[in-house]
Amino acid sequence: MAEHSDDKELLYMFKNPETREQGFTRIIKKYQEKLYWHVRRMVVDHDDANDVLQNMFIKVWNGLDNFREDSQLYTWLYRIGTNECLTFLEQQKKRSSISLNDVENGLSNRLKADKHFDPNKLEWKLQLGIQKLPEKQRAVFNLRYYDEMPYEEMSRVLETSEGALKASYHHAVKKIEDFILNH
Amino acid sequence: MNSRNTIQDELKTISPLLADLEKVNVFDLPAGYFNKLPDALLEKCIFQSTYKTQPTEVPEGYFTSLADNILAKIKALEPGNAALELRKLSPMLYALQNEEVYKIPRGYFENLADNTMARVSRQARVIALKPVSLWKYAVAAVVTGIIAVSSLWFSDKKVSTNESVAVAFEKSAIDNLLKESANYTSQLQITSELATLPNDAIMSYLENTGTVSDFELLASTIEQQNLPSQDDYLLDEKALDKYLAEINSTVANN
Repeated sequence: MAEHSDDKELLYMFKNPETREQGFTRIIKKYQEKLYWHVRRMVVDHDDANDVLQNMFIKVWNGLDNFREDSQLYTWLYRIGTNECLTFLEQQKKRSSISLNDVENGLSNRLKADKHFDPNKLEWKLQLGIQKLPEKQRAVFNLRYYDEMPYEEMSRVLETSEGALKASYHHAVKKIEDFILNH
Repeated sequence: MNSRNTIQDELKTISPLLADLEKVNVFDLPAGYFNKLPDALLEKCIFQSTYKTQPTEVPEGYFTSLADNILAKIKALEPGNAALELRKLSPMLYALQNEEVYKIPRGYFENLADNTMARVSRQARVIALKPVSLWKYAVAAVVTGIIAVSSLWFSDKKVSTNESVAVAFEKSAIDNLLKESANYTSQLQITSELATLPNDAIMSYLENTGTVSDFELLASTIEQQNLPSQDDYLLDEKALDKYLAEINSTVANN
């Protein structure tokens, strides 16, 4: 509730021309880390994550005036961020004319190229398992596992029914578990 | 907290393994990234919105720096930034690019130039021998003609030692040539001297001296019974070599 009133204050600041930039800066500071890590877990590479995040906030700047406040601000922000990630991954696929499997392999390879990568450590196996998931299922898993987002909020972010999200999350968890056990 | 417990319980139900895993962040981040991000984003947003609202205007200094910006982008695409390109395309391959799996013998590159030059020299020596064959065949043709004519003369006619033969080539010239030939006792000497003879000179000599016969000098140098048969001269190159070597040594001794 406090956060919601805080978000209202930020929105008010943004919509006021005199405090627009200040409001926008505060919105960024409040949500940048959560949104960054959500994007980063989707695209793996920092530079790509930075590009996606910047594109996302430019859209926020352009579209916040039209935000109807029928959901929470952070839900709206997550929706834009997730869509930007999915668009980015789709563009990558088209640009290099490779299949979805190759995109997943590409992301796995990026993980393996990390200087800290250690295939024997569980946290790295977990990341590899996550990258094996289809993009939208990956988003479902990350939002639930890392951001602990309720299905109700998630359905607004991903514009998918709660039931489908639950099923998707269950399957994702089983797939990752199997991957870890078999590698 | 209630929600968190619910989510954790749900995970435990599905996968105790994942539920027990510690949530460790494996990704690196540039230092100070989040400190700079808001200002950078704000600047970007203001720039793009200013550009949008005043489409007929251009940001100050835009055209001044346009050429440099485009050149910088072109350079960014050049092979010089291949490393950056590879890093974006395939970080795994980028990490592996300095891994050299092929081995070479020690000192290979230090000796390569010398070895190559030595090989080239051997080839050049082989090439230099070719003109000798031409000369050999030319001499073989001349000598064959001389011997053939002289054998006819010696078998059918008495020739006076004082009799002069109508020749196209002076006797003294033959003397000089034969005496000079004594100087060429090694292959290297013959080769280097032959290299200085133009083909035109050889052809001219053959045309002018095809019927040369100084029988007095030839008779003194040729042992008739030692002459190889005509067939040997025409079929066996080495037969001529041996014969010429014998002539040379006879002239040298005289």
